[in-house]
Amino acid sequence: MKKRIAVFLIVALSLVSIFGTFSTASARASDYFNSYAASINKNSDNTISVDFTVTATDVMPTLGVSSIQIQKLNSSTGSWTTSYTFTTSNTSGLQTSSKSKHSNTVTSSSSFSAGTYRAYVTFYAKDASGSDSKTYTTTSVVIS
Amino acid sequence: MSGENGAEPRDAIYSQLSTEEIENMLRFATYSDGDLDMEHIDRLLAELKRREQEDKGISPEEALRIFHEEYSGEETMYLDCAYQPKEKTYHSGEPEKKRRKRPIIRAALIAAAIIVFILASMIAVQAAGIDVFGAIARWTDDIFTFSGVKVEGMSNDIPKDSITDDYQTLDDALRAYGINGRIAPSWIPDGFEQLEFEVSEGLNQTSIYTSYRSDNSFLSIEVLLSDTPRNIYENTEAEVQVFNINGIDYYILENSSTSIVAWLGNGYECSISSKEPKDVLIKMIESIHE
Repeated sequence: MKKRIAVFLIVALSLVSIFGTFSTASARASDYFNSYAASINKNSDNTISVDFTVTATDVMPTLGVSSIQIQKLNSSTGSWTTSYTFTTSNTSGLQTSSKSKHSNTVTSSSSFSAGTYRAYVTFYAKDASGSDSKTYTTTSVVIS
Repeated sequence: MSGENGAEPRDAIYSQLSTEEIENMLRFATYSDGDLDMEHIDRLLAELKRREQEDKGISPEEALRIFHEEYSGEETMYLDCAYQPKEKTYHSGEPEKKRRKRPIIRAALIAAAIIVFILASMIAVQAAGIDVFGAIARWTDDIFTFSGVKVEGMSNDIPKDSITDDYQTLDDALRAYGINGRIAPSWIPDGFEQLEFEVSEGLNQTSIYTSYRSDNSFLSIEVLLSDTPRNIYENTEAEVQVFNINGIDYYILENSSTSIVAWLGNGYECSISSKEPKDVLIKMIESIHE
């Protein structure tokens, strides 16, 4: 019987590991967020714009994104490295206050060299009880 | 039952099945509620191994011998199932000292085989042009999304010439964007007053959003005008409920402190979220069709 339980546990854990790979969420549900989305766009001058929107479960004192990393693909290793980061200190409009929804489009101040890029967006919400963050990775764009 | 050269012939039944069918049979055999039929599972694995070796240019008989070397002849770990171990033969006076695979290793091998078969099946179907990862609505225990597919009829190509800033309701805004037909609920629960209204135009979508506040609750409605669905909705492990009204599927999700209804209405991604009970949300979506 113990052996059958062991088999069941191994198979169950294996299936969990398979389907877990399809999830991009960083935590289970949220007291702060209802939904979020982001997309990346390349511009004709080889700058990159990121479009984002986030809705909260209620009006939040602080709502938006805390950072957006523009990551470049290293085609030889398959890894992504950060080339540029939007933060609240260098970019306005990432966050709003006393609202339940925020959306905006931010554009890099400099152009990018040829390569494949994606955006790694960290959504952020904060109220008097605490805060929460969720991460989202966009599809990629190619700058030639 | 032996072939001309002493090797067992291929099982006639399994040899007539496609690899995909055998993989499915293996999955069902493993998931069955009753005792595991190890003989059945062994035969399925043997057939798959045989085909794998055939692809490598090894004869079926040789593949079967390799399979038996690797998997068979060991004491079964499923002591309480009906599988009968095969008779062992000895080549000399001394019992053959075979390496005894530990039961946990055998279980791991079966699990690994299942994982490979599931992933291979999904990749194969994906390669065949069927987007199994991009179903219209998909969800996990964490998130729900419509994203990944273009929806016929969805468009962000909205005539904006008629847009003004003097609308304060969803219906007014939708009309301004040239969207006719009811998308938004016509009924808002008693006691709620409009708190926010916002139309925001991004690079790839336009969002029309409004929220309402009552004494102790909150609700919001969003209509997203885009050529593809894009929102990631927060979701718990609770079962996603689906209501179909007039051909539209409404998905009711549970978030930590709110419930969310998400749907594709007239080609647009729409959602309601609230701390109100689900029956209130259902009444709201029913009002769309009144």
